[in-house]
Order: sequence, then structure tokens, then C-alpha cells
Amino acid sequence: MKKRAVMLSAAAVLQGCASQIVPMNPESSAALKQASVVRVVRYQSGGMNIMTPKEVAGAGLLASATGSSEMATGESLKRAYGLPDPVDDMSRRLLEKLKAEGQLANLRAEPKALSRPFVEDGSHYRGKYQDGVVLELSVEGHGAGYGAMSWKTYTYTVYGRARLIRVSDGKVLWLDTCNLHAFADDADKRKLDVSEFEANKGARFKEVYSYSNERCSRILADKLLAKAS
Amino acid sequence: MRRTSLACLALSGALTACSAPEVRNTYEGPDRSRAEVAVLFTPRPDAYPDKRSRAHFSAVDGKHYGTYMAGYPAATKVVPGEVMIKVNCFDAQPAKWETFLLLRTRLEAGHYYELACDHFTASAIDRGTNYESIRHLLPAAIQDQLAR
Repeated sequence: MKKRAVMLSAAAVLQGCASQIVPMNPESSAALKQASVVRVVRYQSGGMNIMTPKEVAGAGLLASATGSSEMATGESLKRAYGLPDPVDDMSRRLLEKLKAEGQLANLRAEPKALSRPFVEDGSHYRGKYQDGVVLELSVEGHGAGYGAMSWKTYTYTVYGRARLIRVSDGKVLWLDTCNLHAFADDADKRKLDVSEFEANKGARFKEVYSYSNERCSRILADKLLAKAS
Repeated sequence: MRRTSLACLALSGALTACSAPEVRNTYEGPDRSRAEVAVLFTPRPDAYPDKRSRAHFSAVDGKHYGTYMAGYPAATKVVPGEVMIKVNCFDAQPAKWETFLLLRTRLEAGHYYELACDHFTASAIDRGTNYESIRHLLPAAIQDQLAR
């Protein structure tokens, strides 16, 4: 039980290492500011995973006392509350920040999210666009898991990734992530009791969901604009 | 691990199946008349010839009235209005899968709603206000109780 929770937490932390970070530099900064157009594209997110102890040997009946084994699925929570795909919300917030704080007038949001699978090779944008750069956003994972010591306290986690790609040659000019994992500095702001996913029409869950999208967009915006979060 | 969890799932399914069907109220105070409440029910296991998934009432607006420990009601009386219902959904084939799903719906006073689900979505099907039209879908043990 504890072992599984620790492994899941470790996996979340290690996700941050999965992408090879390409920091902002004079070339990428100039491309962002001077490109004729920066198309902001996003990939549809996968499902939201809510961890339950049901699958842990012998824990189903025991854990039911805490309610954590009777959690609704992540997707049905999102549907019931009408929550947006996190990448849609994150993308909108990121765009607002870049316009307001970076005075970027060349940003253009693509209306539709790209469907998966994710294409790692940035040169595929050449077939779609003629010029400029692409600011690509994806949420590689989002969900909630309980702590190793408590089945009742959940932490919502999000792992987002963004790239700046030059259309003409497909070069990745910048790549960075926002990894809101269970041990991040702001983890307390993403904690909620198992009952709070549904109580008060999901008010606390919706607050955490919105906060996480905002936080991720803030981290990415600050990295793009070379500011401290 | 998988075998043990399947065994637990089978056990909880068996416990649910073995407990006597119950009608539960989700409001405080004395019982209310049929015209004042909406009734959400799970059809009896042999109501349909196919092996469809079974949906049990678990909670309304975050308040639980059905759990593994307490068992799930066969029928639940709910105050009408806009509500969020949670159902426990499991495959009728024993111990195959089980999940909890939320649905938002508007319940009308005096109406009967049949709970249904598949792996991803749950629904409360409006079966109208005529008790006799749904009586055959209910477990025999609660038919008289709901007829009142």
C-alpha cells in the first residue's frame, strides 16, 4: 500500500525529468517576440486519473470506511461539473499572461485542440503552417492520489509541457514543463479531503482544479518571459 | 494481487447481493408521500434477460446513503430538483469490473427513475409516474413498501 503510493509519487516527480529541457536563450526570445505569428496549439489531454485503494490487496472493504475506495472516476467528475479540458483552460490563461505581461501582439490561438498521439518531431508543423513559430502546450498527466499515511487526503497533480518550435525547420527553440507534483512547494494548495470532491457541489475540487491550471500557466509564462515564478 | 482484489470485489458483490433489498430516504423527518419525492431504483437482477451492468444508488449531492459497508439501497427516495447522483456501477458478470460514476439530473416529484450505467456513464431513466408500470422491475421485497 505505502510502497505503491511512494512509487506513484516518485513517478510523478520523475515525470519532470522525462523531457529534455531547452531553456530560453537569445534566439528563442527573439523568435517569440519577432515572429510574424506565434500560433498557440494544444493537444487534447488524456483522462483524469483518481487513485483508489480498491485494487490494493485486501484494502477494498477496509478503505471503504474512508470513502476513498468509492471515489467517482475523474472523467465523470469533470463531466458532472462541466470542467474544461485542463489544457484548454491552461492555454487560455497562458495566452492572457503573454499578451498582458510580455506585450506580445503576434499570438494567435488555434481554435481546435490537436488529437493524440503526440508528435514529438516538431517538423510536422511545416505541413500545416508556412511561417512563424508554434507555441505548443500539452498536459501529459493530471489526477489525484491519496497520501501514503492517509487514504482520505488527496493531492491533485498536473504535469504540463510546452515547446516553442520554429516552423521553417522544426527546431525546438524552447521546451519546459510545469510539474505540480505531490511534493512541490505549493502542494498544500492542491490538497483536499476525499469528501471534498463532491461536497458543496464540488466547490473545493473546482477551486483546486482551477488553481492548478492557473499555477501551471503562471510557471510556463514566467519561463517564457524569463521571469521568476 | 489481482486475484485477491477480484476476490474482494466478488465478496463485496456477494454481500450486496445477499443483503435484503431496502428502501432508503435521503431526507430528514417523517416519510413523505409518493407525490412529494422522486424514487430512484435499481432493477431486480432478473428484470432483463441480458447481462447488463448494474447501477446502485450511492450518494446525492455528496452525501452518501449507499456504501460497501452499509450496502446499497434497492430504491431511494430523493427530494426533487437539480441533483448530482453518484452510482456504484458494476458488470453483472461477477467480479469483472466496478466503478463509481456521477451524473447531474433534474428529478421531478412523483416520478420513478431507473438507474442504469455502462463503464463510462450513468443515467437515471425517467419511467414516469405510474407505479404499476415499474412494479415488475423491483425486487419483490420492496414492492409493497413502495406501493404505499
